[in-house]
Amino acid sequence: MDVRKDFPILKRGIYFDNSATSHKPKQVLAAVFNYYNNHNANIHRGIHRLSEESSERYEDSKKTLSKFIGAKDWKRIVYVKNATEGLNLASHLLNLSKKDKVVITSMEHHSNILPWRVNSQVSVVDISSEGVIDIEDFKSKIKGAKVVSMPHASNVLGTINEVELLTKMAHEEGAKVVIDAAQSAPHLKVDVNKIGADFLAISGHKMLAPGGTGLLYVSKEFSESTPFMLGGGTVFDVTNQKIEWADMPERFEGGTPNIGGAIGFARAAEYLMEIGMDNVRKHEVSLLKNFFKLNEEKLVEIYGPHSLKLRTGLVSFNLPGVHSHDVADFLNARNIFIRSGKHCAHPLHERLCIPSSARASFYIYNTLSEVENLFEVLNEIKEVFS
Amino acid sequence: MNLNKLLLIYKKAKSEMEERTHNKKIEGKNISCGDEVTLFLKIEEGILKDISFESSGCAVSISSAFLLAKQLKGKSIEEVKQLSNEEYLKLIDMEEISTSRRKCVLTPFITLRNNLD
Ligand SMILES: Cc1ncc(COP(=O)(O)O)c(C=O)c1O
Repeated sequence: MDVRKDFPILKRGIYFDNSATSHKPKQVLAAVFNYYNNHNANIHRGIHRLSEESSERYEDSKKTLSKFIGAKDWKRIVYVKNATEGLNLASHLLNLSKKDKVVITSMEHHSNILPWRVNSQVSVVDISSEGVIDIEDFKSKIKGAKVVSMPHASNVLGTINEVELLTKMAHEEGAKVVIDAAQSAPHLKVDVNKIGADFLAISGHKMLAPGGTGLLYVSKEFSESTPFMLGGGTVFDVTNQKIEWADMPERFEGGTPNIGGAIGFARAAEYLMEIGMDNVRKHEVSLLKNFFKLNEEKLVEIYGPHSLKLRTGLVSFNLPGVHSHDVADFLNARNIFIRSGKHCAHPLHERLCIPSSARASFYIYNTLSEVENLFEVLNEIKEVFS
Repeated sequence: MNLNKLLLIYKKAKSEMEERTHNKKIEGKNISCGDEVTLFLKIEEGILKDISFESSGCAVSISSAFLLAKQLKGKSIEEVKQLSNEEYLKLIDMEEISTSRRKCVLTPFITLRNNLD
């Protein structure tokens, strides 16, 4: 993919930690720079020219992002600082009590466990040994659930869940559905209408956008809910007697938002749409294929589905006899940057019966030869540790 | 300490791991990476007469447990309680460890220090 020139930081080394956060292309940085240099003002407040320009650009950014996720109405998009905030906001808007049943899966990131654990009864759907949701267990656990919250793609296993089907099943049981799309939106086409979920959370910073960006898609049904963050921007009117909340999405965005971030977020979505999400996916599958091929001798133990169709462009693995931190440290000494540990998914590591794992996660700027490089060093690590 | 030296110590540490006669056993964990360490102490009149250990974890934490056993054997409990993290790192020649690995090195030591009464 001819994008490497857009990422000067690639000269620092081979970056395989994209699931944690991605690099940002020049175009995104330029968009943010341009906004602050030429248009900066607060939105929705002033009637002066700069404020108007900023408001327009802010709204336009939502139009771009609604196109990116297939939402028909840009007003369904609420900006948050990351997927974690999005999931917390969804949990708040669902107005749960300790008696309510919420179904999650064994492959969650902590950000899709904790917002539910503190205010409801959580029931956990099991996964198969290959890391795929056990559909029979899903069927039985969603009975009587008020909410089903699940990842579109797992940040450890890479599993792409059949969220369209699972959402339909959950809705048939009368449950509301929340999708954690933090690990899917950067890598595959996400279509909120097709999925049919009530809420969908995305981290902008994992898809080429600046830090502090993310969104929560909120379905119309929840547009009248009481906001979580109360303050400026969330109301039409306040008197000493009453409060009249503003419409969506302002209602849910208390205070001055990250306007420059929003501009960058939209530019990142545009950048990805210019490449085409199908091409992003194809590229990542080719890297995955290379990884699996280079591992034919089973140098490392791989977690998650073996069918590449079922996984995103990341591989969690262990080099037998070597702790993941040692693997990551050694790779770092060779300028290859991967993640090690439990990736904010402690229950999943417990389920897999492993203390930790190493994770190489790919993106548009990674190359086949970088994957080969990784394996060369992994072989070296095996040698020196044996 | 450079990587080659660390690897040598790690291999030695793995081969010398054992549970020797003790009158106190303490266990420690570094949750975030799954490191586990068990220290077997033989304490006589306030002195750490012997320290042996078992550990599963990364090369850094296992090496640290090994060096801890070597360096702190013979010291009094009072001396160990007075030892700061920095002093410990210096003692085992790991002051230059990267910030991200500090937890790995310190797990055995903090386990010991917090369990001496
Ligand atoms: C599946 C999943 N959900 C949620 C999150 C949280 O994202 P953020 O840190 O942007 O809030 C992550 C981040 O790693 C993730 O991988």
